[in-house]
Amino acid sequence: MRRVTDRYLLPLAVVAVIAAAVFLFFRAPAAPEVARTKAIDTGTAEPMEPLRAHAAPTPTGSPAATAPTPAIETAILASIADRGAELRSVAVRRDAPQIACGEKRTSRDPVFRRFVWLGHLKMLATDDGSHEFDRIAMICREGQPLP
Amino acid sequence: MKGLSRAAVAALLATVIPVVPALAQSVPNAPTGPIETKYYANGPFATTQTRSAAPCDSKGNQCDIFYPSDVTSSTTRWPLVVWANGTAATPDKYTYWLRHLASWGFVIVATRDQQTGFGNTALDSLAYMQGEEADPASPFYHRIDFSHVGAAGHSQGASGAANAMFHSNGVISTAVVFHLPSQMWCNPADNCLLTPTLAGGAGSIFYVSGTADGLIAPDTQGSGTQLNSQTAYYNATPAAMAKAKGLLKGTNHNDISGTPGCGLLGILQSCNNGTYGYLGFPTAWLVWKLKGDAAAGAAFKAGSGEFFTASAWTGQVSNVP
Repeated sequence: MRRVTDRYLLPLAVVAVIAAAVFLFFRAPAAPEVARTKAIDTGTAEPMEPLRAHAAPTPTGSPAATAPTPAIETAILASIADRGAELRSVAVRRDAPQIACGEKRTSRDPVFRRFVWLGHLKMLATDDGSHEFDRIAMICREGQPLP
Repeated sequence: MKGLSRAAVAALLATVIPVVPALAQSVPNAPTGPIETKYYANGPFATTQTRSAAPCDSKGNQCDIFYPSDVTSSTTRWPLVVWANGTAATPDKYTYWLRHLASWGFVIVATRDQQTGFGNTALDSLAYMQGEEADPASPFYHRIDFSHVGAAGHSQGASGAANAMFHSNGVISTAVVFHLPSQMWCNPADNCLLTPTLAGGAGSIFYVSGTADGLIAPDTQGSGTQLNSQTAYYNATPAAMAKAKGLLKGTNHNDISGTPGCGLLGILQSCNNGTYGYLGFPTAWLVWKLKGDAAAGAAFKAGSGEFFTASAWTGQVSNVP
């Protein structure tokens, strides 16, 4: 009986370690969220209009969008020219792969804000909380006219 | 007989081969009034393009210089225009428009910088030309009129041109800004024409955009405190500055890069109409401000000038008395 328990002990330990690693991996972003909130409260964010409650970027999870290639994310980050910049929820418009949408934050503006990227013009718009950005973000949807 | 045949062929070709941009009525955004038509055509000077042997700005970029070919043999000093490129672009993209301007008697210095929004490299190129003007070995020795300096630029370079003017301590007195992006496109946020800079500025400015550029440089905006439209920029421009604003019908963000049309691959380059509409009034503005052509200035008279009845334009406004 004891030999049987020992036989399963090692695999169980391996599974436990993997489960713990997975849990920690997906839990890790939670800590910076607290820091970002503090950054806003202490006024370190750029003087932009306060964001309204926004849904996730339009193409996220949409059948009209595909996962971005590393090259696109590299190009977006290069345009931001901030070593502390981060992207998340980036998606590329399926029928216009030069257009990507997602969220970004930078050292100077540590809150994740929606963005629209026009790769052919190397231009990036950042959500300033206005209806104008909502209008621009429409371009993330498949079938919208291209600039 | 053989000679006659050649003459006949030459005459035939002269009638059927379009002389761009002479056949104004056959192109998009064709001019309609006398001032726009005058400056839509190329000017009287043959032009030359050269590149600085050494870097002309603090980022190590060379400059392209467009100028009347007889600059050295002439006895006059020529007004200078400082050009700023759009994002990731070089002057190669604007050669047609820059040569057109040079044909009207301007020297244009264009840094090859591809990130011009701050305006610092445009100011560097101005300093480079000041050095050339003082160098006896330079073709521009004593040939530049630094009391008449303007700036122009496209997209991010429109921000750069305006910033260069506002930070030039009055050396640059006017700016023509093509498709100045809404502030939400500024990346980073200060690589942009900022509201305090504009509100505290001096000089004169002509805002030019297109009706098919509603995404980046739209005419109007519905809300927000940022300057996200040409109208918002115009309204934030001090009343003490001479200012005008207008949109070319149907032009997209990159139409100024036409040569002069969009070419077969225009659709891939985000080009609808080409640069035709950008030739007339923008040149007239600079001729008025830097060469003193009062008739060109009268075209911008608020409400009644030729600019306000030009069929290629919409959304015109100015405060020119």
